[in-house]
Amino acid sequence: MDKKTVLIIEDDKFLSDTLKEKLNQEGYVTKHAIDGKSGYEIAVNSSPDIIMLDLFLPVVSGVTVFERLKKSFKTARIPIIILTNTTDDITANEFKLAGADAFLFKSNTSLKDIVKIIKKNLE
Amino acid sequence: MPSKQQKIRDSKKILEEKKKLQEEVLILSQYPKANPDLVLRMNKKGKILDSHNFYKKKLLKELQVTSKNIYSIFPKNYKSEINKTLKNNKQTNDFEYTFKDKILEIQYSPFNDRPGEVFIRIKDSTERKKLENKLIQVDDKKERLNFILKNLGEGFFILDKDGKIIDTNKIALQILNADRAKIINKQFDNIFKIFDEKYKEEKKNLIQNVISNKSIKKTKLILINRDNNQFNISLCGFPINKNGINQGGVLVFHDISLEDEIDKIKTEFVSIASHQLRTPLASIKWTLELLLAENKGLLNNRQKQLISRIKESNENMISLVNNLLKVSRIEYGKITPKKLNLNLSEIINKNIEEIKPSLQRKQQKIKTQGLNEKHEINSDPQLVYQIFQNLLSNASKYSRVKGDIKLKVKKDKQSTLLEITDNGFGIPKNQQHRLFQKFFRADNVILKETEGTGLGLYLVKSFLELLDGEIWFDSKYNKGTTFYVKLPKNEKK
Repeated sequence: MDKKTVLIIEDDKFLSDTLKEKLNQEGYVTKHAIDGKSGYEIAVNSSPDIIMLDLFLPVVSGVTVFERLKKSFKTARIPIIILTNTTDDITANEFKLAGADAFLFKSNTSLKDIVKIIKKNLE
Repeated sequence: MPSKQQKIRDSKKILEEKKKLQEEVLILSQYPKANPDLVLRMNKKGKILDSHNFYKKKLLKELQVTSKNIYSIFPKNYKSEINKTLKNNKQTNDFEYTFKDKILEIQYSPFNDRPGEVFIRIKDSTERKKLENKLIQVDDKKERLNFILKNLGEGFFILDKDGKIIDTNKIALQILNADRAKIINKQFDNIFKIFDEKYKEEKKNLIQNVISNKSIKKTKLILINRDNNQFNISLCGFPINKNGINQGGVLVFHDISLEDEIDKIKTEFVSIASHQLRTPLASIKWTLELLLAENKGLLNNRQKQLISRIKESNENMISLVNNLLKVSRIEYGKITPKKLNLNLSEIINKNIEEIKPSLQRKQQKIKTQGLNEKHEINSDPQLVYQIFQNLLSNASKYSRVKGDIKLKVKKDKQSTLLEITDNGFGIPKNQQHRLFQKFFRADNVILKETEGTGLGLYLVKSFLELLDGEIWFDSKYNKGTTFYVKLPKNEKK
């Protein structure tokens, strides 16, 4: 079975490296973008199986990337997990209503739980 | 028949009597007629020769004049005043004299027809002075009130019963950039339109409510003048009601444009700071997780123990940042509770599921009663979840190993009542009144349990206030605590 690809759009290198390491250990292929613009381009060009999206991003914000990905024919069906530290529960609900598959606070979620949620969304 | 001599003697006597009578008439005629003051006639030795007044007896009695000498009433230094009067043959000015509890005004005047005699007019001014003092106090009060109103940091409008502006102050005119002459005696509604804080709804009835006897609690509003200028204010209103009759109302307000700006900056700061704080905490959390997974090599027990300790501290820090964020959002009024139909039992069962690891670690047991039934409430699911998450984790955290926790749900027509009882450390009686204060932690638990931010119960109480609920407790030191939570079943109308 082919390895699944996870696109991580995250501007904090330390965090993305840690997450990549865990996902690689779990058998996923990872791609990484450090800003919203390149993240969107990678998503459109390489059609990953799932996207981990931060909201507080340079160049183009995570909110805009989310909207564009959901509108684009090529990417609309890719599950998106919002992984952020900004905002609050209210925004979390708004994103879920707008089609986000999960909304996680980085500091409140363990790597183990992130893997669980990725697995669940790839089933 | 009387002899001629006898007749002459008699007529002399009659003449003398007549003269004496005339004299008396003369003396009395010099007293001011119907003068309410006491008038004494005396010689230069101070002997009171005569007195006049319709209420003289009363005053003389009050002055306790026992002797017929004036110096028995007043001190001797009055002698010099009397002498001066006689010498100069001139009336003195009134001077005040306090005699026992009476304030007397005394005036000496010479008796022109009888050299060596003086009149003393004694006026009892006690009541008048009291009245004067009262008037001064009233004037003082009025002046003070005027001063306060004029210099008040808040603006005000006084409206008559028809909603006309009848008075205002400088600050009000400054805040609303208005000209006094252009607004006095004008209908408030014709000068300003009132909108709610979010500019969504025009508050057309607000003025009508105030002048028809309804108070308005402090509310953030926007006033728009005729030139379409916008003023952000916080306003409260009180009706003026005298003997049950509406006389108009008072509006008191202040400018909040600066406060709004600061609020916005604070909220932005909290949001950015939380992001900045949470990112390194997430990095530490994930890295420690990778280390403890031992993919990079096995750890010895001591290493594992130390890393676990760092992990625990990091989790405490995360929970502190999360709680601080919640507190700041509550305090800035950023939390608007939802009203959804919920099954309370379902939420609490989730809470219990979540704290099971902690219960197992401390070998504690939880007994529930009434959770098999459906308890429907109309409330905010996330806030309700957080309330019981806090209360249950406290019950476990502040109880001994092998402790028991009991949870009971009861309902009546209007509300659902929950009791959470532990047999833990309890709260010292002298500190119980501070339990719901921000950052408060009781002395006995600080020593036993180092975790905790002192924000949990403050948040629980704040959340319950938002949900129209209540919380209270019973606690015995070293025996345990019961928290009671009351949640309304339906939305408050």
